[in-house]
Amino acid sequence: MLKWLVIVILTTTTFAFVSFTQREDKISAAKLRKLYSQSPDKWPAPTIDSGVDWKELGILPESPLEKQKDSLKHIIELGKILFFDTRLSGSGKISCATCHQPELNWTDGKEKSIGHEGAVNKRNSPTIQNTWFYKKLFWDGRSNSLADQAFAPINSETEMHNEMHEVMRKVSKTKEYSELFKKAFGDDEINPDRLTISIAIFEKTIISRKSRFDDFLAGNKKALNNEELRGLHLFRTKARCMNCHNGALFSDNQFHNNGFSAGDAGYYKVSHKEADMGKLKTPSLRDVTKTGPWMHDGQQNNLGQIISRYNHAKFIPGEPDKLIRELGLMPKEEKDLLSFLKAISAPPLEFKKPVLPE
Amino acid sequence: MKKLFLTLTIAAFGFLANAQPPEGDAKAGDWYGEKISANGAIPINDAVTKLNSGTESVEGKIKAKIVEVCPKKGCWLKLELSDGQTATVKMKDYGFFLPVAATGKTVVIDGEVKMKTTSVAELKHYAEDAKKSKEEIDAITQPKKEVSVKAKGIVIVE
Repeated sequence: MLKWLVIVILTTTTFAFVSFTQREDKISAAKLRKLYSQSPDKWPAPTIDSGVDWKELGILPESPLEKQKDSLKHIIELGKILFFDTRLSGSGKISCATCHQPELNWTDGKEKSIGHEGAVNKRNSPTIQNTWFYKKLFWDGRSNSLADQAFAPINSETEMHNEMHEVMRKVSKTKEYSELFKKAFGDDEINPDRLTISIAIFEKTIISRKSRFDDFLAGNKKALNNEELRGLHLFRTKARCMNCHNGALFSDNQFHNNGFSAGDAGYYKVSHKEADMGKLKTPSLRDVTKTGPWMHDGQQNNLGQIISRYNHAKFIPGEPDKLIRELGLMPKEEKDLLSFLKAISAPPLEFKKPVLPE
Repeated sequence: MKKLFLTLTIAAFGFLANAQPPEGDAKAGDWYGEKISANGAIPINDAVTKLNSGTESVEGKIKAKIVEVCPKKGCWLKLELSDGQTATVKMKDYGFFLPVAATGKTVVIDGEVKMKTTSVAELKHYAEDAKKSKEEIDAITQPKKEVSVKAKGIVIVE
Protein backbone atom coordinates (compact mmCIF):
# COMPACT_ATOMS: atom_id res chain seq x y z
CA MET A 1 0.00 0.00 0.00
CA LEU A 2 2.73 2.37 1.11
CA LYS A 3 4.67 1.46 -2.02
CA TRP A 4 1.74 2.52 -4.23
CA LEU A 5 1.33 5.75 -2.33
CA VAL A 6 4.97 6.64 -2.89
CA ILE A 7 4.67 5.89 -6.60
CA VAL A 8 1.54 8.03 -6.92
CA ILE A 9 3.12 10.95 -5.06
CA LEU A 10 6.30 10.74 -7.10
CA THR A 11 4.41 10.60 -10.39
CA THR A 12 2.26 13.56 -9.45
CA THR A 13 5.16 15.71 -8.32
CA THR A 14 7.17 14.82 -11.41
CA PHE A 15 4.23 15.72 -13.63
CA ALA A 16 3.66 18.95 -11.74
CA PHE A 17 7.37 19.80 -11.96
CA VAL A 18 7.55 19.09 -15.68
CA SER A 19 4.49 21.17 -16.48
CA PHE A 20 5.74 23.92 -14.20
CA THR A 21 9.15 24.10 -15.88
CA GLN A 22 7.49 23.97 -19.28
CA ARG A 23 5.26 26.84 -18.38
CA GLU A 24 8.21 28.63 -16.86
CA ASP A 25 9.97 28.11 -20.16
CA LYS A 26 7.12 29.59 -22.14
CA ILE A 27 6.90 32.58 -19.86
CA SER A 28 10.60 33.23 -20.06
CA ALA A 29 10.54 32.94 -23.86
CA ALA A 30 7.94 35.68 -24.10
CA LYS A 31 9.67 37.70 -21.42
CA LEU A 32 13.07 37.27 -23.04
CA ARG A 33 11.71 38.41 -26.37
CA LYS A 34 10.28 41.48 -24.71
CA LEU A 35 13.51 42.25 -22.85
CA TYR A 36 15.73 41.77 -25.88
CA SER A 37 13.40 43.67 -28.20
CA GLN A 38 14.50 46.80 -26.39
CA SER A 39 17.65 48.62 -27.41
CA PRO A 40 20.81 46.88 -26.13
CA ASP A 41 21.42 49.49 -23.40
CA LYS A 42 18.20 48.27 -21.76
CA TRP A 43 19.07 44.57 -21.96
CA PRO A 44 19.61 42.60 -18.72
CA ALA A 45 23.06 43.21 -17.25
CA PRO A 46 25.58 40.64 -18.52
CA THR A 47 27.51 38.36 -16.19
CA ILE A 48 30.95 39.92 -16.22
CA ASP A 49 33.67 39.59 -13.59
CA SER A 50 34.83 42.73 -11.85
CA GLY A 51 37.78 44.37 -13.55
CA VAL A 52 36.85 43.09 -17.01
CA ASP A 53 36.66 45.83 -19.60
CA TRP A 54 33.69 45.03 -21.85
CA LYS A 55 31.38 46.44 -24.50
CA GLU A 56 27.80 45.48 -25.30
CA LEU A 57 27.13 43.30 -28.33
CA GLY A 58 26.05 45.26 -31.37
CA ILE A 59 25.36 45.51 -35.05
CA LEU A 60 28.15 44.57 -37.48
CA PRO A 61 30.31 47.67 -38.06
CA GLU A 62 31.28 48.69 -41.58
CA SER A 63 34.90 48.82 -42.68
CA PRO A 64 36.66 51.89 -41.22
CA LEU A 65 37.71 52.66 -44.81
CA GLU A 66 34.12 52.66 -46.08
CA LYS A 67 34.08 56.43 -46.57
CA GLN A 68 37.57 56.51 -48.13
CA LYS A 69 36.91 53.62 -50.51
CA ASP A 70 36.65 55.98 -53.43
CA SER A 71 39.84 57.94 -52.77
CA LEU A 72 41.70 54.71 -52.01
CA LYS A 73 40.21 52.67 -54.84
CA HIS A 74 43.46 52.24 -56.81
CA ILE A 75 45.36 51.10 -53.73
CA ILE A 76 42.54 48.71 -52.83
CA GLU A 77 42.59 47.33 -56.38
CA LEU A 78 46.37 46.86 -56.27
CA GLY A 79 46.19 45.20 -52.84
CA LYS A 80 43.45 42.87 -54.05
CA ILE A 81 45.54 41.76 -57.04
CA LEU A 82 48.64 41.25 -54.88
CA PHE A 83 46.57 39.27 -52.36
CA PHE A 84 45.67 36.75 -55.06
CA ASP A 85 49.01 36.72 -56.88
CA THR A 86 51.10 33.56 -56.47
CA ARG A 87 54.14 35.54 -57.72
CA LEU A 88 54.60 36.58 -54.12
CA SER A 89 55.69 33.05 -53.14
CA GLY A 90 59.00 31.35 -53.75
CA SER A 91 57.38 28.43 -55.59
CA GLY A 92 55.01 30.68 -57.55
CA LYS A 93 52.16 28.49 -56.33
CA ILE A 94 51.00 30.16 -53.11
CA SER A 95 49.22 33.47 -52.61
CA CYS A 96 47.68 35.09 -49.51
CA ALA A 97 44.36 33.73 -50.79
CA THR A 98 45.64 30.15 -50.58
CA CYS A 99 45.02 30.25 -46.83
CA HIS A 100 42.37 32.99 -46.86
CA GLN A 101 39.82 31.87 -49.45
CA PRO A 102 36.87 34.20 -50.04
CA GLU A 103 34.41 31.32 -50.52
CA LEU A 104 35.40 29.80 -47.15
CA ASN A 105 34.74 33.02 -45.23
CA TRP A 106 38.38 33.87 -45.96
CA THR A 107 39.86 30.86 -44.13
CA ASP A 108 41.21 27.64 -45.63
CA GLY A 109 39.07 25.15 -43.71
CA LYS A 110 42.17 23.25 -42.63
CA GLU A 111 43.47 22.47 -39.13
CA LYS A 112 46.74 24.14 -40.00
CA SER A 113 47.63 25.80 -43.25
CA ILE A 114 49.73 23.98 -45.81
CA GLY A 115 52.59 26.12 -47.04
CA HIS A 116 55.71 25.74 -49.19
CA GLU A 117 56.04 22.25 -50.67
CA GLY A 118 53.41 20.83 -48.35
CA ALA A 119 54.91 22.20 -45.12
CA VAL A 120 52.36 22.07 -42.30
CA ASN A 121 52.27 25.38 -40.48
CA LYS A 122 52.18 26.03 -36.78
CA ARG A 123 48.70 27.44 -36.33
CA ASN A 124 45.23 27.67 -37.84
CA SER A 125 44.64 30.28 -40.54
CA PRO A 126 42.20 32.89 -39.21
CA THR A 127 39.64 34.70 -41.34
CA ILE A 128 40.53 38.18 -42.61
CA GLN A 129 36.92 39.33 -42.24
CA ASN A 130 36.74 42.33 -39.87
CA THR A 131 40.46 41.97 -39.26
CA TRP A 132 40.80 45.78 -39.32
CA PHE A 133 39.54 45.58 -35.74
CA TYR A 134 42.52 43.83 -34.14
CA LYS A 135 45.17 45.93 -32.44
CA LYS A 136 47.65 43.08 -32.67
CA LEU A 137 47.91 40.50 -35.40
CA PHE A 138 48.62 36.76 -35.30
CA TRP A 139 47.32 34.39 -32.64
CA ASP A 140 50.24 35.46 -30.42
CA GLY A 141 49.95 39.19 -31.18
CA ARG A 142 53.50 39.55 -32.45
CA SER A 143 52.61 42.13 -35.09
CA ASN A 144 51.21 45.62 -34.55
CA SER A 145 49.73 46.30 -37.96
CA LEU A 146 48.33 44.47 -40.97
CA ALA A 147 51.05 45.91 -43.21
CA ASP A 148 53.72 44.62 -40.85
CA GLN A 149 51.94 41.27 -40.60
CA ALA A 150 52.05 40.81 -44.39
CA PHE A 151 55.85 40.56 -44.34
CA ALA A 152 55.76 37.37 -42.28
CA PRO A 153 53.96 34.85 -44.53
CA ILE A 154 55.94 36.10 -47.54
CA ASN A 155 59.25 35.57 -45.72
CA SER A 156 58.43 32.52 -43.60
CA GLU A 157 60.19 29.42 -44.93
CA THR A 158 57.14 27.21 -44.25
CA GLU A 159 54.57 29.60 -45.72
CA MET A 160 55.29 31.44 -48.98
CA HIS A 161 59.01 30.83 -48.69
CA ASN A 162 60.25 33.95 -50.37
CA GLU A 163 62.53 36.92 -49.77
CA MET A 164 61.36 40.49 -50.15
CA HIS A 165 64.06 41.35 -52.72
CA GLU A 166 62.90 38.37 -54.81
CA VAL A 167 59.29 39.56 -54.58
CA MET A 168 60.39 43.04 -55.68
CA ARG A 169 62.28 41.52 -58.59
CA LYS A 170 59.31 39.45 -59.80
CA VAL A 171 56.74 42.21 -59.32
CA SER A 172 58.95 44.86 -60.95
CA LYS A 173 59.41 42.64 -64.00
CA THR A 174 55.65 42.55 -64.54
CA LYS A 175 54.74 45.51 -66.70
CA GLU A 176 51.15 45.70 -65.53
CA TYR A 177 52.31 46.24 -61.97
CA SER A 178 54.22 49.45 -62.76
CA GLU A 179 50.95 50.79 -64.13
CA LEU A 180 49.03 49.62 -61.05
CA PHE A 181 51.58 51.08 -58.60
CA LYS A 182 51.56 54.33 -60.55
CA LYS A 183 47.79 54.56 -60.36
CA ALA A 184 47.87 53.76 -56.64
CA PHE A 185 50.80 55.91 -55.47
CA GLY A 186 51.38 58.53 -58.17
CA ASP A 187 54.63 57.03 -59.47
CA ASP A 188 55.72 53.54 -60.42
CA GLU A 189 58.21 52.94 -57.60
CA ILE A 190 57.72 49.43 -56.26
CA ASN A 191 58.96 48.84 -52.73
CA PRO A 192 58.11 46.49 -49.84
CA ASP A 193 56.25 49.16 -47.84
CA ARG A 194 53.97 50.05 -50.75
CA LEU A 195 53.32 46.38 -51.43
CA THR A 196 52.37 45.51 -47.86
CA ILE A 197 50.39 48.70 -47.27
CA SER A 198 48.31 47.96 -50.37
CA ILE A 199 47.58 44.44 -49.15
CA ALA A 200 46.71 45.79 -45.69
CA ILE A 201 44.34 48.43 -47.06
CA PHE A 202 42.62 45.81 -49.21
CA GLU A 203 42.25 43.52 -46.19
CA LYS A 204 40.70 46.33 -44.17
CA THR A 205 37.82 46.45 -46.64
CA ILE A 206 36.83 42.81 -46.04
CA ILE A 207 34.01 42.42 -43.54
CA SER A 208 31.32 39.85 -42.70
CA ARG A 209 27.89 39.66 -44.25
CA LYS A 210 25.20 40.82 -41.83
CA SER A 211 23.79 37.92 -39.83
CA ARG A 212 20.28 37.23 -38.50
CA PHE A 213 21.43 38.72 -35.21
CA ASP A 214 22.13 42.02 -37.00
CA ASP A 215 18.72 41.80 -38.60
CA PHE A 216 17.23 41.32 -35.12
CA LEU A 217 19.14 44.33 -33.76
CA ALA A 218 18.01 46.41 -36.72
CA GLY A 219 14.41 45.87 -35.63
CA ASN A 220 13.23 42.62 -37.20
CA LYS A 221 12.17 40.98 -33.95
CA LYS A 222 11.27 37.73 -35.69
CA ALA A 223 14.81 37.25 -36.98
CA LEU A 224 15.73 35.11 -33.96
CA ASN A 225 13.66 32.13 -32.79
CA ASN A 226 13.15 31.26 -29.11
CA GLU A 227 16.09 28.90 -28.98
CA GLU A 228 18.43 31.55 -30.41
CA LEU A 229 17.06 34.18 -28.05
CA ARG A 230 17.70 31.91 -25.07
CA GLY A 231 21.16 31.34 -26.53
CA LEU A 232 21.74 35.11 -26.69
CA HIS A 233 20.65 35.50 -23.08
CA LEU A 234 22.82 32.58 -21.92
CA PHE A 235 25.75 33.95 -23.95
CA ARG A 236 25.47 37.21 -22.05
CA THR A 237 24.76 35.72 -18.60
CA LYS A 238 25.10 32.17 -17.29
CA ALA A 239 27.58 30.97 -19.93
CA ARG A 240 29.90 33.94 -19.16
CA CYS A 241 30.97 34.21 -22.81
CA MET A 242 30.98 38.01 -22.73
CA ASN A 243 33.92 38.08 -20.33
CA CYS A 244 36.03 37.71 -23.49
CA HIS A 245 33.70 37.67 -26.50
CA ASN A 246 32.06 41.08 -26.21
CA GLY A 247 31.40 44.11 -28.40
CA ALA A 248 29.95 44.20 -31.90
CA LEU A 249 32.60 41.78 -33.15
CA PHE A 250 32.44 39.40 -30.17
CA SER A 251 36.10 39.90 -29.20
CA ASP A 252 37.71 41.97 -26.46
CA ASN A 253 40.87 42.43 -28.57
CA GLN A 254 42.84 40.88 -25.70
CA PHE A 255 44.81 37.71 -25.00
CA HIS A 256 43.63 34.87 -22.77
CA ASN A 257 44.60 31.35 -21.85
CA ASN A 258 41.38 29.41 -22.41
CA GLY A 259 43.00 26.08 -21.52
CA PHE A 260 43.29 24.99 -25.14
CA SER A 261 46.75 26.46 -25.80
CA ALA A 262 48.30 22.97 -25.84
CA GLY A 263 51.84 24.04 -25.02
CA ASP A 264 51.85 27.10 -27.27
CA ALA A 265 53.54 29.91 -25.30
CA GLY A 266 51.46 32.47 -27.23
CA TYR A 267 51.62 36.08 -26.09
CA TYR A 268 54.37 35.23 -23.57
CA LYS A 269 56.89 35.25 -26.41
CA VAL A 270 55.90 38.84 -27.17
CA SER A 271 55.46 40.28 -23.67
CA HIS A 272 58.05 38.08 -21.89
CA LYS A 273 55.76 38.09 -18.81
CA GLU A 274 55.14 34.76 -17.09
CA ALA A 275 51.48 35.72 -16.59
CA ASP A 276 50.99 35.71 -20.37
CA MET A 277 52.11 32.10 -20.84
CA GLY A 278 49.66 30.28 -23.13
CA LYS A 279 47.60 33.38 -23.87
CA LEU A 280 46.24 33.69 -27.39
CA LYS A 281 44.16 36.33 -29.12
CA THR A 282 40.40 36.29 -28.53
CA PRO A 283 39.02 35.62 -31.99
CA SER A 284 35.82 37.28 -33.16
CA LEU A 285 32.87 34.87 -33.06
CA ARG A 286 31.26 36.42 -36.12
CA ASP A 287 30.70 33.63 -38.70
CA VAL A 288 32.14 31.15 -36.20
CA THR A 289 30.11 28.21 -37.52
CA LYS A 290 31.73 28.81 -40.93
CA THR A 291 35.35 29.13 -39.83
CA GLY A 292 36.17 25.73 -38.36
CA PRO A 293 38.13 23.76 -37.39
CA TRP A 294 38.61 25.90 -34.32
CA MET A 295 41.18 27.21 -31.86
CA HIS A 296 44.71 28.37 -32.70
CA ASP A 297 45.78 24.88 -33.70
CA GLY A 298 42.57 23.76 -35.42
CA GLN A 299 42.38 20.76 -33.11
CA GLN A 300 38.69 21.24 -32.27
CA ASN A 301 36.36 20.20 -35.06
CA ASN A 302 33.02 20.21 -33.23
CA LEU A 303 31.58 23.48 -32.02
CA GLY A 304 29.02 21.77 -29.78
CA GLN A 305 31.84 19.91 -28.07
CA ILE A 306 33.76 23.14 -27.49
CA ILE A 307 30.70 24.58 -25.71
CA SER A 308 30.50 21.39 -23.65
CA ARG A 309 34.13 21.69 -22.70
CA TYR A 310 33.73 25.29 -21.59
CA ASN A 311 30.68 24.14 -19.60
CA HIS A 312 32.59 21.41 -17.74
CA ALA A 313 35.93 22.83 -16.70
CA LYS A 314 37.22 19.28 -16.17
CA PHE A 315 37.06 18.69 -19.92
CA ILE A 316 39.32 21.65 -20.65
CA PRO A 317 42.71 20.14 -21.41
CA GLY A 318 44.98 22.82 -19.88
CA GLU A 319 44.89 25.28 -17.01
CA PRO A 320 42.83 28.27 -18.13
CA ASP A 321 42.56 31.84 -16.83
CA LYS A 322 40.30 32.34 -13.83
CA LEU A 323 37.64 33.79 -16.14
CA ILE A 324 36.90 30.26 -17.29
CA ARG A 325 35.02 28.12 -14.78
CA GLU A 326 32.38 25.42 -14.34
CA LEU A 327 29.15 26.81 -15.83
CA GLY A 328 26.47 24.28 -14.86
CA LEU A 329 24.62 24.58 -18.17
CA MET A 330 21.93 21.98 -18.94
CA PRO A 331 22.39 20.03 -22.21
CA LYS A 332 19.48 22.03 -23.64
CA GLU A 333 21.22 25.28 -22.75
CA GLU A 334 24.35 24.14 -24.55
CA LYS A 335 22.16 23.59 -27.61
CA ASP A 336 20.65 27.06 -27.26
CA LEU A 337 24.13 28.57 -27.23
CA LEU A 338 25.06 26.70 -30.38
CA SER A 339 21.86 27.99 -32.03
CA PHE A 340 22.87 31.53 -31.14
CA LEU A 341 26.32 31.01 -32.67
CA LYS A 342 24.57 29.95 -35.87
CA ALA A 343 22.53 33.16 -35.76
CA ILE A 344 25.70 35.29 -35.68
CA SER A 345 27.17 33.43 -38.65
CA ALA A 346 26.53 34.14 -42.31
CA PRO A 347 28.00 33.14 -45.66
CA PRO A 348 30.70 35.48 -46.95
CA LEU A 349 29.73 38.56 -48.96
CA GLU A 350 29.93 38.05 -52.69
CA PHE A 351 33.41 38.68 -53.96
CA LYS A 352 34.79 38.86 -57.46
CA LYS A 353 38.35 37.60 -57.71
CA PRO A 354 40.67 39.95 -59.62
CA VAL A 355 42.22 39.22 -63.00
CA LEU A 356 45.94 38.76 -62.41
CA PRO A 357 48.71 40.35 -64.50
CA GLU A 358 50.09 38.03 -67.21
CA MET B 1 50.14 66.69 -54.80
CA LYS B 2 48.18 63.50 -55.27
CA LYS B 3 51.10 61.55 -53.89
CA LEU B 4 51.33 63.77 -50.83
CA PHE B 5 47.63 63.38 -50.22
CA LEU B 6 47.90 59.60 -50.42
CA THR B 7 50.90 59.52 -48.13
CA LEU B 8 48.99 61.57 -45.59
CA THR B 9 45.91 59.37 -45.90
CA ILE B 10 47.95 56.24 -45.39
CA ALA B 11 49.88 57.77 -42.51
CA ALA B 12 46.60 58.75 -40.90
CA PHE B 13 45.64 55.09 -40.73
CA GLY B 14 48.80 54.38 -38.83
CA PHE B 15 50.28 52.16 -41.50
CA LEU B 16 53.68 53.76 -41.63
CA ALA B 17 54.54 53.98 -37.98
CA ASN B 18 54.61 50.27 -37.31
CA ALA B 19 57.17 48.95 -39.75
CA GLN B 20 60.19 49.37 -37.53
CA PRO B 21 62.35 47.15 -35.34
CA PRO B 22 61.21 46.60 -31.74
CA GLU B 23 62.41 49.09 -29.15
CA GLY B 24 64.79 48.04 -26.40
CA ASP B 25 68.37 48.28 -25.19
CA ALA B 26 69.31 44.63 -25.81
CA LYS B 27 70.83 44.28 -22.34
CA ALA B 28 72.65 41.12 -21.23
CA GLY B 29 70.02 38.46 -20.52
CA ASP B 30 67.37 39.90 -22.89
CA TRP B 31 65.93 37.17 -25.12
CA TYR B 32 64.00 36.90 -28.36
CA GLY B 33 61.99 34.03 -29.89
CA GLU B 34 62.37 30.84 -27.83
CA LYS B 35 63.67 31.55 -24.34
CA ILE B 36 67.11 29.94 -24.19
CA SER B 37 70.10 29.93 -21.85
CA ALA B 38 73.58 30.89 -23.01
CA ASN B 39 75.02 27.59 -21.75
CA GLY B 40 76.61 25.06 -24.06
CA ALA B 41 77.25 27.32 -27.06
CA ILE B 42 80.16 26.82 -29.45
CA PRO B 43 81.88 29.76 -31.21
CA ILE B 44 80.36 30.34 -34.66
CA ASN B 45 83.76 29.86 -36.28
CA ASP B 46 83.83 26.27 -35.00
CA ALA B 47 80.52 25.64 -36.73
CA VAL B 48 81.89 27.17 -39.95
CA THR B 49 84.94 24.88 -39.75
CA LYS B 50 82.58 21.89 -39.56
CA LEU B 51 80.66 23.15 -42.60
CA ASN B 52 83.89 23.65 -44.55
CA SER B 53 84.89 20.07 -43.79
CA GLY B 54 81.70 18.76 -45.38
CA THR B 55 79.09 18.75 -42.62
CA GLU B 56 75.77 19.74 -44.18
CA SER B 57 74.36 21.61 -41.22
CA VAL B 58 75.21 22.30 -37.59
CA GLU B 59 72.31 22.36 -35.17
CA GLY B 60 72.50 23.78 -31.65
CA LYS B 61 73.80 26.88 -29.96
CA ILE B 62 76.42 29.17 -31.37
CA LYS B 63 78.06 32.27 -29.92
CA ALA B 64 78.85 35.27 -32.12
CA LYS B 65 79.03 39.05 -32.33
CA ILE B 66 76.33 40.98 -34.18
CA VAL B 67 77.76 43.52 -36.63
CA GLU B 68 74.50 44.65 -38.24
CA VAL B 69 70.74 44.52 -37.58
CA CYS B 70 68.11 45.06 -40.31
CA PRO B 71 67.39 48.75 -39.82
CA LYS B 72 63.84 48.52 -41.17
CA LYS B 73 62.32 45.68 -39.18
CA GLY B 74 65.01 43.93 -37.16
CA CYS B 75 64.27 40.80 -39.20
CA TRP B 76 67.85 39.83 -40.11
CA LEU B 77 71.30 40.09 -38.50
CA LYS B 78 74.87 39.87 -39.71
CA LEU B 79 77.40 38.06 -37.53
CA GLU B 80 81.17 38.54 -37.49
CA LEU B 81 83.27 35.64 -38.82
CA SER B 82 87.02 35.15 -38.33
CA ASP B 83 87.72 35.23 -42.09
CA GLY B 84 86.44 38.78 -42.41
CA GLN B 85 83.13 37.65 -43.93
CA THR B 86 79.76 37.80 -42.24
CA ALA B 87 77.03 35.21 -41.62
CA THR B 88 73.39 36.14 -42.20
CA VAL B 89 70.79 35.26 -39.57
CA LYS B 90 67.10 34.91 -40.36
CA MET B 91 64.47 34.14 -37.75
CA LYS B 92 62.57 30.84 -37.91
CA ASP B 93 59.05 31.37 -39.32
CA TYR B 94 59.90 35.09 -39.49
CA GLY B 95 58.65 34.85 -35.93
CA PHE B 96 60.59 37.49 -33.99
CA PHE B 97 62.75 40.58 -34.38
CA LEU B 98 65.70 42.26 -32.68
CA PRO B 99 66.16 45.91 -31.75
CA VAL B 100 68.86 47.84 -33.60
CA ALA B 101 70.53 48.31 -30.20
CA ALA B 102 71.69 44.68 -30.49
CA THR B 103 74.36 45.84 -32.96
CA GLY B 104 77.81 45.14 -31.50
CA LYS B 105 76.47 42.76 -28.84
CA THR B 106 77.68 39.21 -28.34
CA VAL B 107 74.81 36.74 -28.48
CA VAL B 108 74.04 33.05 -28.23
CA ILE B 109 71.76 31.77 -30.96
CA ASP B 110 69.92 28.47 -30.89
CA GLY B 111 69.24 27.27 -34.41
CA GLU B 112 70.77 25.76 -37.51
CA VAL B 113 73.90 26.87 -39.37
CA LYS B 114 74.28 26.05 -43.06
CA MET B 115 76.39 27.02 -46.05
CA LYS B 116 74.20 28.69 -48.63
CA THR B 117 75.50 28.60 -52.19
CA THR B 118 74.22 30.90 -54.91
CA SER B 119 75.06 29.49 -58.35
CA VAL B 120 76.85 31.46 -61.08
CA ALA B 121 73.66 31.38 -63.20
CA GLU B 122 71.58 32.86 -60.36
CA LEU B 123 74.23 35.50 -59.64
CA LYS B 124 74.27 36.53 -63.30
CA HIS B 125 70.50 36.62 -63.30
CA TYR B 126 70.45 38.98 -60.30
CA ALA B 127 73.14 41.15 -61.90
CA GLU B 128 71.06 41.41 -65.07
CA ASP B 129 68.01 42.40 -63.07
CA ALA B 130 70.08 45.01 -61.25
CA LYS B 131 71.00 46.37 -64.69
CA LYS B 132 74.74 45.80 -64.24
CA SER B 133 77.03 46.28 -67.23
CA LYS B 134 77.97 43.34 -69.49
CA GLU B 135 81.55 43.43 -68.16
CA GLU B 136 80.34 43.14 -64.58
CA ILE B 137 78.06 40.24 -65.49
CA ASP B 138 80.82 38.44 -67.38
CA ALA B 139 83.13 38.86 -64.40
CA ILE B 140 80.91 36.50 -62.38
CA THR B 141 82.60 33.09 -62.56
CA GLN B 142 82.47 31.78 -59.01
CA PRO B 143 79.43 30.68 -57.02
CA LYS B 144 78.85 32.76 -53.90
CA LYS B 145 79.09 30.94 -50.58
CA GLU B 146 77.56 32.42 -47.49
CA VAL B 147 77.08 31.11 -43.97
CA SER B 148 73.41 31.33 -43.06
CA VAL B 149 71.79 30.82 -39.68
CA LYS B 150 68.14 30.03 -39.01
CA ALA B 151 67.48 31.18 -35.44
CA LYS B 152 64.84 29.74 -33.07
CA GLY B 153 65.93 31.80 -30.10
CA ILE B 154 68.53 34.45 -29.28
CA VAL B 155 69.88 35.66 -25.94
CA ILE B 156 72.16 38.66 -25.41
CA VAL B 157 75.36 37.68 -23.56
CA GLU B 158 77.21 40.98 -23.30
